[in-house]
Amino acid sequence: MTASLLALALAALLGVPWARRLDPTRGSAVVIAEGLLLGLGMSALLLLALSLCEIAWSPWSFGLPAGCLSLAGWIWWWKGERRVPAAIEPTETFAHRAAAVAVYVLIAVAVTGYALFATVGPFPEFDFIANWGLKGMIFWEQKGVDWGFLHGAWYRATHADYPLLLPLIFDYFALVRGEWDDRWLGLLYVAIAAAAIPILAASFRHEAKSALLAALAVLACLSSVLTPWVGLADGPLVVYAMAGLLHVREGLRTGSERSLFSGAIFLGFAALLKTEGVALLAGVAIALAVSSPSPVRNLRLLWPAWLMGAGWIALRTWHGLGSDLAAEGVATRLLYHLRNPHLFFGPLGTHVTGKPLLWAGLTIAMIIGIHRVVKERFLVVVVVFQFIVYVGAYLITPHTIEWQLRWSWERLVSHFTLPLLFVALASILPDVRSILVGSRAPDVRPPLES
Amino acid sequence: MAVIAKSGMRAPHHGDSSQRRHWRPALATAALLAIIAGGFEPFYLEIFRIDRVSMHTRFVELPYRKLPGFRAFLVEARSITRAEERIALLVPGMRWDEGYEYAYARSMYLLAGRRVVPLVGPDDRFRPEALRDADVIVSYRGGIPFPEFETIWSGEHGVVARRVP
Repeated sequence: MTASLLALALAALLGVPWARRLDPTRGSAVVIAEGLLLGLGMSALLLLALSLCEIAWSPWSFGLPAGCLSLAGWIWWWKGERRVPAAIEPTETFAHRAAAVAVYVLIAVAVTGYALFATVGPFPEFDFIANWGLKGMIFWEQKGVDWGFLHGAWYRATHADYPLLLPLIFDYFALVRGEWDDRWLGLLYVAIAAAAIPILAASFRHEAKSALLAALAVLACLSSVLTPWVGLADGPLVVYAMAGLLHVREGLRTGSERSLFSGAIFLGFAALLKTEGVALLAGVAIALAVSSPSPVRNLRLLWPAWLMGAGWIALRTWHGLGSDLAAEGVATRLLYHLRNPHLFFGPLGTHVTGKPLLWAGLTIAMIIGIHRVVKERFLVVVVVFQFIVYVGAYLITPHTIEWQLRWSWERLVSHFTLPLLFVALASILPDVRSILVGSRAPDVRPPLES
Repeated sequence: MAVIAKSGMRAPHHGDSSQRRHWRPALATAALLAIIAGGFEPFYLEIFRIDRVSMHTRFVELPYRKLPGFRAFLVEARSITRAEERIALLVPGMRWDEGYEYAYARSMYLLAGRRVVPLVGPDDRFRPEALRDADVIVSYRGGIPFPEFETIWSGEHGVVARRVP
C-alpha cells in the first residue's frame, strides 16, 4: 500500500506544477486533482518514450527524466504568473455551508468504502487478466513495451489494438514498488475517482453559486465516478474525458485559449486510454463544428488532443495491430444487422443498464431544464455522437450482438452518463436553488464566444 | 385594468406564472433527489460491515473458480520456469469451448513473461507445431503423455515437465 501511495504522490509532484501553469485561475484542490491526472499520464508517456528509444525501464532510466520534468515544471511555475483563484460570492448561510460539509463527509465515506472494495484483493475482472493487466505484466517483465507480443496476440480478449496508457500506468506503479502487485493498484482507481470530485465540484459551484448545491450535484454524479470495473480502463476514461470536456466547455463559453488547451490534453489522455477515447475526439470535433462560432480556431487550439490520438493510431498502424471490429466483411455485417434490428433491440431489453430511478430523474431534469440544455449543445452533441458510434460498433461486431451487449453495454453507457448528468444537473440547479438555498442565482454565465 | 385595456396591453397571467414558478423548482428538486437516490451505491457503505478477509480470499480465486487449484498450480509452475520459456498447456478434455479457452486465457496472465502456446485452437484441432516449440508442458490434473518431456515437479493439481535436452 505504501508503494502505491508513494507512486500517487510522485505522480502528483510531477503533474501539479504543469496543471497550475495550464490554468493559474484554478483553486488548489482542482490543481492537485488535475495535477495527479496529468502526472499519471505523463509517467505512462515517459515509459512509452523510453520503450520507443529502446531504453529498458529502471528506477534510474525513468526517474531521471521524470525528475527533470518535475523540476522544470516547478521552476516554470515559480517564474510564471500567479493569479488568485476567482472567489465565489458567499451567498449562503452558515446552515447551508454546514449542510454542504455534511454532504462532502458522506461523499468521503463512500469514497473510503470504494477504496476498501478496490483494494480488497487482486482485480478479478476477466478483461484485466486477459487484456489490461496482462499487457501491463508482460511489459513489466520485459521492462518495456513488448511489440512482438502485441503483434502476435491472436486471442480475441487480448485486443492488441487497444491504447496502452493504462497498462503503462500499471507499470509505473510496479516501477515505484519494484515488483508487480495487482492488489494495491486499486488505489489508482480510488485516486482517479477522487480527483474527479473537486473538478466536478468547481464546475457545479460555478453554475449554481452555491456550495450546498455543488455538493449535492457531486453526490448525484458519484456513482458514475466510482465505477465497479476496477482493473479496466472505463473508470479512468470517464474521469479524463470529463475533465477534458469541462475545460473545452469553459473555453467555448469564455473564449479562453488556456481552457481549450487544457481540455485538449485531458482528451488526448482519454484517447490513449481506450479506443472509445479516440472516438470521443471525433465527437468533440463535430460538436465544435456544430456549437462553436469559430470552429477552425477552436479545432486548432485542441492540437494536443489530435496529436496524441493520431500518435497512437500511427503507432498501431506501424505495428500492424488490427481491430476485430474491422475484420473482413464489415459492410456485410452492418447490412445484416440493419436488416435484423431485433438482434440489437432484443438483447438490449435484457441487458438494460440499471438504476431506473437515476435515469428517470435525469430525463425529468432534461425536460424541465430544456431551455438550458439547448445552451449545452457542445456536450449534448458529443454524447449523441458517442451513442451513435457505440451503436455502430455493435452493428459491425464480428461476434453476436447479444454477446457483445452482455459484456460491454453497461460499461459503454457509463462513458456518457457523466456528461449527460452534468448537462441535466447544470440545467436544473438554478431552479433547485430557489427551494434549497432560497434565491435564484443571477444568470452570470457568459454567452458563447463570438 | 382599464388603462391596460386602453393601451392595448395584455393583462399578465398572474396565476399561470406563479404556478410555473412553483412547479418547476419543485420538480427540479425532485429530479435531483431521484438522481441522488437512484445513483447512490449502498454497497460502498455496506462494505464497512462485510468480512473483508473472506472477501479477499474469494477475489483471489474468483477468476479461476471453474478450475479449482489452477491458480495455485500455475503460481508454482511460474516459480520453477524461466522467463522467455515457451510453455504448452494441457487441461482435461482439451476442447476450446469446454475449458481450454478458460484455462489458456488465465494462464497467460499467471505465466506472464513466459510464452504460453495453446495446444488446441478455437477449432479444437490439436496443434503439433505448438508442442514442437514448447520448452515446458504444464498439465493441469493430468499426466504428461509425451516422452520427450520429463517431469520436474508434480503436485495435487498437476505436473510440470521440461523438454529433455
